[in-house]
Amino acid sequence: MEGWKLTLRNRPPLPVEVGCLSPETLAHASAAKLERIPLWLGRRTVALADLFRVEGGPGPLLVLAGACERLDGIGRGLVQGEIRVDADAGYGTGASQSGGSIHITGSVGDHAAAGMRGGMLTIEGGAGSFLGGPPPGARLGMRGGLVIVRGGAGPRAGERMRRGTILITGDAGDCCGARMVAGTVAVGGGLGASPGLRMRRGTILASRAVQGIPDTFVQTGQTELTILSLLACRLRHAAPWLAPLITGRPMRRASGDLAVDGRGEILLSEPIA
Amino acid sequence: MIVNGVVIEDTFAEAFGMRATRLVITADSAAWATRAAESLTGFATSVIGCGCEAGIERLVAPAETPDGRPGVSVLIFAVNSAELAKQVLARVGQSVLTTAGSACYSGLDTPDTIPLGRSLRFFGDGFQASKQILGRRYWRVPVMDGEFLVEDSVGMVRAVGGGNLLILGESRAEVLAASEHAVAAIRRLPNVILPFPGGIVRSGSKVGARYKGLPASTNDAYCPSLKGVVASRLEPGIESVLEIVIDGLTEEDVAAAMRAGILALCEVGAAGGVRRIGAGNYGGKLGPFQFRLREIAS
Repeated sequence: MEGWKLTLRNRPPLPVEVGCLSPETLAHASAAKLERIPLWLGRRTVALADLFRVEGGPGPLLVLAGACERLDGIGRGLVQGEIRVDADAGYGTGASQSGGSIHITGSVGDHAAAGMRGGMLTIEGGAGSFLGGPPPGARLGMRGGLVIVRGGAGPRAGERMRRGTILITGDAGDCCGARMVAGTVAVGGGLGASPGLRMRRGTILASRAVQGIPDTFVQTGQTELTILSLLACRLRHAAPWLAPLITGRPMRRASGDLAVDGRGEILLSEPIA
Repeated sequence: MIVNGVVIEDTFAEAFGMRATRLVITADSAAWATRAAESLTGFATSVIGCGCEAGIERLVAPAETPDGRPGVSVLIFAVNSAELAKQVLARVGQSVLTTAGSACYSGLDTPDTIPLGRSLRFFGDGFQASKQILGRRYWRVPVMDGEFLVEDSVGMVRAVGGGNLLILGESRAEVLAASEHAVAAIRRLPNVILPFPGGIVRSGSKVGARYKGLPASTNDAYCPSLKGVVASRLEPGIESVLEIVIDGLTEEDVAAAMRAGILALCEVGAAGGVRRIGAGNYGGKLGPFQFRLREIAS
């Protein structure tokens, strides 16, 4: 697949905002024009060529390589095309993404997939806090799309999410799915403290809740739900660890948060503490 | 044209444009999915009296169904999209929703859709919940054995209904056996259904009747007991006629099914009591699709 490859010459001394770089925006750029694109480095701008070595040409793929953990906003607002980061990524990766796909071979910082509306974000490592949460100042978090995290996630994953799916292979931090409006967060490992706090609707699915669930949830028994088989089947390629659900393994279900709308659910495969 | 002693008439089957959908019904076992499908496709032999024509297309293996459980795919045909939507909603609501452990999904991925779950969800009386997975919306309706899961809308396509074969032979038993053989051959094909009981209809009809208000009546020209009384199409020695009606998702599907049926009937041959293969038509004036038997058979 053709596209530009941007390799960081050195680790930037400050965070660099790269939200303006996407296969779509660079589709008609020449190498010379690309090298002159101004990027924010802390409080000043620098030319792209000052930070990156540029290779390749226009195409549906954009590859970022080098020490990328200080690159913020990778794939921000991506509509189509593919971005691949052969390293860790910084703050706000995939924020407001509405299409296309982003693949991070390492881990990402806070606020990844914030306000995401579509497309797919795959993170081979872990994610920071507020994964799929609202962008700063926004009322709602993720509103669509699919986020796959092969590692764990920090606190408040799925905060205020409205729609879409987050799949976390490892553990999730405290307040997972807090103030969730709808959507699905599936966690292969355990949940931190206060999962689903003030959630209105939506589904949080996990192996266990290490510190229990909020008192404002009510246990509704051990249920075989066809939706779990469907979820596991449709996401079998993204999350093979969901496979046991296909056979209709019963899950312990708690409904809540009754302090608010109360139509959400937490589903656990291990007994609820 | 004579094959294995069977005369293939120089005529054509006349078929009509319809709207169709495919549903995939799953349940805890193939037996329960089949029960739901049989109930849904019951009393759906002809659009004239049933509102739609429906049938089981095939059993679907767990690996092929959306939720990994055993399933059955059914095809439903109606004269227009409004009638199709009405029939699908009523039949799924009464036959699938009510079946233990069942779920219902769209079996067609098309731009044109008809509502299903978005209407049925109201049975949940406010306790229903939607779930969107990879761009497809489903409704979870609480029921007494857990949840009924149903897709928000199902795909709809333009389809062809009314392909047919007339099997004329020497005795009722021989014609029935030959027809069963043809039905078995046709049922191995995808995208088609045979809406009548056992895939066979014995009461072929003509348009109109002597009685006012009756849209169709017995096809007297093919009734052996009326030979000599009416302008019969049956020569001496033909004592029984059965018809196979075929609905398919495309013209090619119907043609393929008719070909499979003709070949199976010719396989039985004159030795098996099959004298002639014909087809029903209205002189080519009503239906836009014409399936010429000899072209299909060759």
